[in-house]
Amino acid sequence: MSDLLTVRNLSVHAGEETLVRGLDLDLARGGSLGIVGESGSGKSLTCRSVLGILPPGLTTGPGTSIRFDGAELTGLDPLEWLPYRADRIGAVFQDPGSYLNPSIPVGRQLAEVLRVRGGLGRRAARERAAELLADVGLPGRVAGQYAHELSGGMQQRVMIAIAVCREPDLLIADEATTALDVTVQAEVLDLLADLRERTGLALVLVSHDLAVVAQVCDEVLVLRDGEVLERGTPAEVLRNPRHEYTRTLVDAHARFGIERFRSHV
Amino acid sequence: MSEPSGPELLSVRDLAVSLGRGRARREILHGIDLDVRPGEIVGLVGETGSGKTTLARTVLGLNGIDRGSVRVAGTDVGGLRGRALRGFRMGGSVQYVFQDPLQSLDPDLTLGRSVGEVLEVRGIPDIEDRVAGAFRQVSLDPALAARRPSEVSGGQRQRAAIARAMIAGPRLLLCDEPVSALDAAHRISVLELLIRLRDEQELGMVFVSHDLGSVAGITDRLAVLHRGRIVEDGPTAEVVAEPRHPYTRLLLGSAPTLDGAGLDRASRAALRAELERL
Repeated sequence: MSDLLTVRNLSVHAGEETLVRGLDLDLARGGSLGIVGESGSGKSLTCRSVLGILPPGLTTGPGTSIRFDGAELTGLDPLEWLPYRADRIGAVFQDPGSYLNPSIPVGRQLAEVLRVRGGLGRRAARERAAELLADVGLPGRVAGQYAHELSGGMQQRVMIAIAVCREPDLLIADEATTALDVTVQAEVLDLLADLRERTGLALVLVSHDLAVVAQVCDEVLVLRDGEVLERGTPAEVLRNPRHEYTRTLVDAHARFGIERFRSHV
Repeated sequence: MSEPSGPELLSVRDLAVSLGRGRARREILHGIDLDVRPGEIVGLVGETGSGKTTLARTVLGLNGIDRGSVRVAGTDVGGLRGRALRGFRMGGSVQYVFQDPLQSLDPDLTLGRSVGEVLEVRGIPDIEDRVAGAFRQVSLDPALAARRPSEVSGGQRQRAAIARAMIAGPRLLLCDEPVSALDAAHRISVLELLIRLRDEQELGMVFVSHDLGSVAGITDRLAVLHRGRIVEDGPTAEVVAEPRHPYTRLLLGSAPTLDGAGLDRASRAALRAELERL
C-alpha cells in the first residue's frame, strides 16, 4: 500500500510556545489511524494542520512537512489548499449542530456542496444528495428537515454525508462521536467502518477514549502535551503499554470499566 | 466493596413525574422503583432523555410527584410542602455533585467560601477549621481554599465540589456524571475518592451516567433507565454477565471496551429492531 498521508516533524507554535512537537505519522491509502489524547494533547491541532485550518495566531514550524498523495501541503496558500480540504480530505468534528446552517434544510446544504464543488446541476445534485443521505442510514424525509429537528446522531450522519460527498481519499473524524449516546456512538462508528469497506476511504479517528480508537483503527498514536508517547497496533499498545500515561488509560478501563466484570480479561 | 446493610437510605416506589405546563406537560417517569442502602453505590444508567436527571432532581425535592413515593432516610419527600420542604433541602441529608464544577461552583467565590457557605447559612461556628477539614477529607490542600474555581485544575474543582457536598453531612450523594469532564488520571482519582468516602461514611450513592463503559466498575448495582422506566436492576456483575432487557444488551454491546467484547453490527441492529417493536 502506498502512503496517502505522511507527516514529518510537525510542530505547531503560538508565538514562543510550542503546542505540538516533532510529530511524525504515516497513513496508507485505505488505512486507519487512531489518535488518542486529552484536551491540550495536540490531537486536534494535528488534524487542523493537515486540513490547513489552524486557529489564527498558530503556525506550523519551518521543519514541518505534510505530504498528501505526493504533494507537499505546507506552504500552500489558502486557495491552493482548498481543493485538498474541500475535495480530497473530508472532516467531521464533535458538535455537528454548529456546522450546519440552522435556516436551510440539510438536504439542500448537501446539494449545495455537490453543485458548487462538484459542478452538478440542480436536479442531479438533489438526487445525489438523497442517495448520500440514504448511504449514511438516514430516512428520505431528513433531506427536507432542519438541523434542529434532528437528533445529535442524525446531525452527525448528515455531516458525514457532506464530508464524503466529494469522495475524498481521507476522512478526519475529530471527537466526532464524543457528544453522542453510547448506542448512537456505536452506530456512527459502524457507519465509518462501513464507508471504509465500501469506498476504500482512509480514516484518522481522534478520541479521548482509547477503547474507541482501539476498536476501529489499525494503528494508534498516544499523544500528550504535544508529543507522541506511544504508537503501535491496538493490540501492542493495550497489551504492552510502554508509557506510564498509556498504562493509566488502560488501567482506567480495567478497574472502572465493564471489563472488570468480564472474567476473560 | 463493603456489604450494604440496614434499611434503605433511598426508597422510590411506583414514582411517576410529569414536567412542563399545559399542553406541553409530559409524563417523564412512568412508575419507577429504586432502592439505595447505606454503603451502596447504584449506577443509574441511561441515554439522553431517558429521565435520569429528572429522577435525581425529584429525589432532591425539586420536582412535584404525580404518583408513588420517594423516601430519603425515612423522610417522605413527596409529602413535604413549604417550610418542611425547604428544611429538607437545607438539612443536607442528600447532596448533589454535578458534571461540571465550573458551572456548579460560583465563579466569584473562593473555593473555601463555596465549601463553607452551607455552614454560614446554618450559623455554625469555626467555619474555617471545618472547611480545612473538608478539604483534607477529599485530599485537597487547604491552601487552595483561597483560590477561585478558574484558578485550579478540573480534578481539583471536582474535589472542591465534593467537599462542598460532604461538609453538609449527607447520607446520600447523587453524582450526575461526576467524572465525564475529567481526563483519565483525574477520573481515576475522583472515583477512588468517592469509593473511599463511601467506605468511611457508609454513604449511599446514586451514580448517574450515560457511559456505562467507563464507570460500571465503581458500582455495586446497576439500574438501567430507558424511556422513563427502569428496565433492569441488579448487582453489576450479574447485569453485565446476563443482561435481560434488550436495551441493556444493546447498551453493554455498544460500550467501547479494551477487550473488544462488544456486540457485532448485526447483533446490535437486531436488538435495535427488537426495541422498536417493544
